[in-house]
Amino acid sequence: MKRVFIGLAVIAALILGTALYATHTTRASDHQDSPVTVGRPGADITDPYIFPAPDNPNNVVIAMDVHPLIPSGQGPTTYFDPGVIYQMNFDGVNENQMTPSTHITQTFEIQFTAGTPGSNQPIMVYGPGHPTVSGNQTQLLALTGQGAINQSFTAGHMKIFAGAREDPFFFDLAQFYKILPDRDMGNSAPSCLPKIGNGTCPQGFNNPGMDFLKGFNVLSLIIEMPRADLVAGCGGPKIAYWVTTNTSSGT
Amino acid sequence: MNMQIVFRSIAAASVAAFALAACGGGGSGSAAAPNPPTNGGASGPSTALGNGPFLQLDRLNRPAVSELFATFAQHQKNNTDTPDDDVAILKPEIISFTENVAGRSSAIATVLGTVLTPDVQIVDMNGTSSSCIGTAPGTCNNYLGIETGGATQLPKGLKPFGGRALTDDIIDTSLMATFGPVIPALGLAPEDNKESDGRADASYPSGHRPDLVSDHVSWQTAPKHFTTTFPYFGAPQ
Repeated sequence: MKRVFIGLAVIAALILGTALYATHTTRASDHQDSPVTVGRPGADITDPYIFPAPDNPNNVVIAMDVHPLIPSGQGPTTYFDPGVIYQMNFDGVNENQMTPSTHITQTFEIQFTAGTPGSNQPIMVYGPGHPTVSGNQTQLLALTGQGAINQSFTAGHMKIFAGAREDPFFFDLAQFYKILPDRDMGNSAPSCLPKIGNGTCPQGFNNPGMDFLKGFNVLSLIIEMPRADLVAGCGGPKIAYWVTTNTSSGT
Repeated sequence: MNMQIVFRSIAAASVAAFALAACGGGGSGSAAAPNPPTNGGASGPSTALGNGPFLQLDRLNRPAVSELFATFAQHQKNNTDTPDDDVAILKPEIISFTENVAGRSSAIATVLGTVLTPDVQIVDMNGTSSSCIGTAPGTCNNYLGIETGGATQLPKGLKPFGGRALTDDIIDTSLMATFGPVIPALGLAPEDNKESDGRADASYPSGHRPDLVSDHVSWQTAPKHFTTTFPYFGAPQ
């Protein structure tokens, strides 16, 4: 049934072009992963990335995606939530450790906010810098640059793009939910693993699988900047990275 | 992607450090001067957010960790707490799922819970591995490269950067670690012979175990349209 429901939702999105966010109850990676984030898609993080810059070995690319499941064709008319602080968090990690210590808190960060929604929605950049508040609260750092949605711009040493992109995540979510139904919102049916194979559960994934995110878009915040700036800010080359969204109310 | 072979190749010397997540401080160190603001054209921010403090609504690092190991009902708690809370809150969820749902041994479950918490991505800015963009599936990977002491790094011979590249098949890596032979192969826990990796097994009606170690979707088969120039993420569809 879940697969049927998902299939219908996809069809609705692709053919009717409707915004299926409010009624579409599914999530992948971290898409739509709680009632709170479902209610505020502009604050709903889907995926973080950090990888070596393809065009310059001295640079790093840092990104976070939000606003899951933007239907095909609607990327350019979907905007960031002006009430949200989008934050990339960093903390230095002991050089000799492969895994971080149990104490990780942001000691360096980059933030974004967005102005009035529209085709030239302003995008503000704050930091990188050291936070005055840490843990699960934040305050804005000093403003370091401003641009507009869907147009690359620079802020300090940072090259920035903030806007609609193809959802880069790939996953056969429909089959995953058939195997583990209680991972999905609104479904408390227990998994029948490890009894899988007894005839009541799917026999694992299909080969080939099908990317559930195909055709969907997200809003991406993408930075390319010198690795040296992160090393300096974090006190060393080994760094923990995670992303958060914040609002004045926490909802 | 053939993560089984990848994982099997880990050096034994890295095992002890891999299993021990605790110790040391995660401090910021010397706190050198941050990237100086040089955008003189920026005026006041076009936002009316006020001064805060602002409250965390969502948090994410390793996608698939929360999704696979935690039930939906658990997510808002993980979204609003901090990495410092992961050992107390997320780790037991990982262990419980791996042991009770995936059916693995408690030793394997404990190793997974230890490795995957706190839920942050680790990168090494001295790493020499590439962005992987443009490479064939299964030939290039950065995901968990630091946390596993290079076991997941592809191609071999490069100093892992870690983090997560656009092409990294994080789902297959997570599935292989949970349902596959990775942890025993690394010598981190005894073999429990409870893999769900599609192997022949006469005790199953189908004659083989279910295939839960890959969803058989890659960036290439999806397909995704990554680019070699900034911003690298594919244009909206």
